[in-house]
Amino acid sequence: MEYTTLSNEIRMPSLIMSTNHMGYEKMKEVVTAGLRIGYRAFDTARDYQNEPVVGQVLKECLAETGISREEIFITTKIGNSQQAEGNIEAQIDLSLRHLQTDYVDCWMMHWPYPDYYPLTYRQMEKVYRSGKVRAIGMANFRLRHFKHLWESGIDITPHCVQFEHHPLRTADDILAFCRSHHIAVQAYSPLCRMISPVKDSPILKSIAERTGKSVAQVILRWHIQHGTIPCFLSTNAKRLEENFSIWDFDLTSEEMTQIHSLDQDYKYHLESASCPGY
Amino acid sequence: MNIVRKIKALPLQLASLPIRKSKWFNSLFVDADGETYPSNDWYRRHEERNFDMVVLGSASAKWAFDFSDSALKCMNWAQAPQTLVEDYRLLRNFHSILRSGGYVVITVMPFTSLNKQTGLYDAFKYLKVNSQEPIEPHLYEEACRHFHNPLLFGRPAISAGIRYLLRREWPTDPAEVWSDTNPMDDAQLRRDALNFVNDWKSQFGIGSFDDALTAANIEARRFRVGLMQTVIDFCLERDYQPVYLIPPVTTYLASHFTPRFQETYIYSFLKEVQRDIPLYDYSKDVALQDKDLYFNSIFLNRKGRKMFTQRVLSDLQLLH
Repeated sequence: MEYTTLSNEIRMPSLIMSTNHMGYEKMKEVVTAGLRIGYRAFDTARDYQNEPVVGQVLKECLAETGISREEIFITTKIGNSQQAEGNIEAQIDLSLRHLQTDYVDCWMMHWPYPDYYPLTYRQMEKVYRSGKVRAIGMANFRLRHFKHLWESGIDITPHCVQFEHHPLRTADDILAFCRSHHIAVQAYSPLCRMISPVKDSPILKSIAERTGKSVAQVILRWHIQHGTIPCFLSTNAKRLEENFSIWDFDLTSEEMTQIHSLDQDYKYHLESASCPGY
Repeated sequence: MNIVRKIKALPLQLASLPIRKSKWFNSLFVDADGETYPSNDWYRRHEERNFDMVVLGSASAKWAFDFSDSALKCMNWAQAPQTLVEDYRLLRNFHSILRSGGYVVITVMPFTSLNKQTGLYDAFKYLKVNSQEPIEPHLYEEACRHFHNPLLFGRPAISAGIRYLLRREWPTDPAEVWSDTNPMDDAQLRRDALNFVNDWKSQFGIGSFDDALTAANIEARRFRVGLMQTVIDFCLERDYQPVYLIPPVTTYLASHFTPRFQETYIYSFLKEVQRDIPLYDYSKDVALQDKDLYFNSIFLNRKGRKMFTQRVLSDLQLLH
């Protein structure tokens, strides 16, 4: 496994398994398989309504595999309803109890919830200083949200952001902003759900043929080579294994450019449907 | 406790079952099939994104557009009726379907600037819309009570339930809206136009269309001006292109809309909003006033909707 070093020297694995809306049995099976393959990073969120399941599964799996808590990286997120409640510092304690851990590796706000997110971030900074989280950040921000946040005043530059990013949405403006501020990028839906423009893309198919890899592996490699960290959901152990086998080949710069050219600012997830007023 | 409550509720549930199954009850909702708005469920069933245009507005906008023949990706979110308040809420919930630079068509009718209080049925119709924040908070709780117990609607509900049981339900969609001709003759159209005018006068407390705004309507306008500014700013901040659109009406109705009336109720309102966005004004477009394009004096029929849609898409330079 390769690692990315955040601006505060925390190391984050370069592949992340999502646990989105998984129940105990499936998650136990998937996390067991993931740890055996070599995955060390797991993503959850309060809105996935399964933080306690993640906590239980990780506790059991770590005990069964002999892997220590320090070897794994947990990301969780604070939801809009918690932002509206406003008790952000209490929310991390709840997440820690759910996850059965003393600290979270990366704590994000899930959405730039209108009217709340600048204040939420100020409180997240306090939590970061307390040591209960090792990095802070946010998901689903656009440039205008960053701009507004910066204008409202921040003390700690976010360490990591997560947003939908794949060949159909290269989001060059957000990436450039993150690079210029030394903010690491987690890419969710990194394969754009393998919808037809992705899986049937002649460009991706041709690169897959040359490299002897699958289209999914080619896309994941594209992420790694341009410095974004794929965070994907799979409930299939074979697929997890396939997604992990991306360290033994390289894409040429021309292939990177070709993949980049597939951009059409396509967002699978419609943000405003999850965050009204987004 | 839960089981006791469920047993107690059983007779009510059984009594309201035929009502729930009736065409009448189901016609009260918009988006019952989840296909009108790009909700959390919708986007998982559809791969189309980056839409070119969405339409906001009330009945005139609902019956103004037909995108079925268009290669462009457009959605009509207008409902009959719908106020600017709900327009804004729909936009907040579903705007991400638009591409950067996509059009938000804000349909303006003479009384868009006045406060229409949405009633129970208006609140009720949004209950099945899958949204993170309710589309219509006004009377929302009462609408929810009626949803859980449709017998509260009284006579129409009971009548609909009985008709359902007797298999004697009435069609809910008037056939004429799908026609390619106007079913009304000249006399009927004149009466229909007058009926609309009289209804509006009564609804908004207007004596004569040529009078200045009443004090109540001046107050109402203040709120609407702010709301329209919010809607437009919301669009601009997200790189969409908001445009005003005034739809056409037949000559029968247009004859009541004097220049003074239009200035008092429409143009002065838009000036007060103080947002420099394009206005597509079809209210005086003679080519679009032909009665055969309408199914009454105000709303376009299928032929009219197709023709008008092409015209608007062309004017917005969306047709290449």
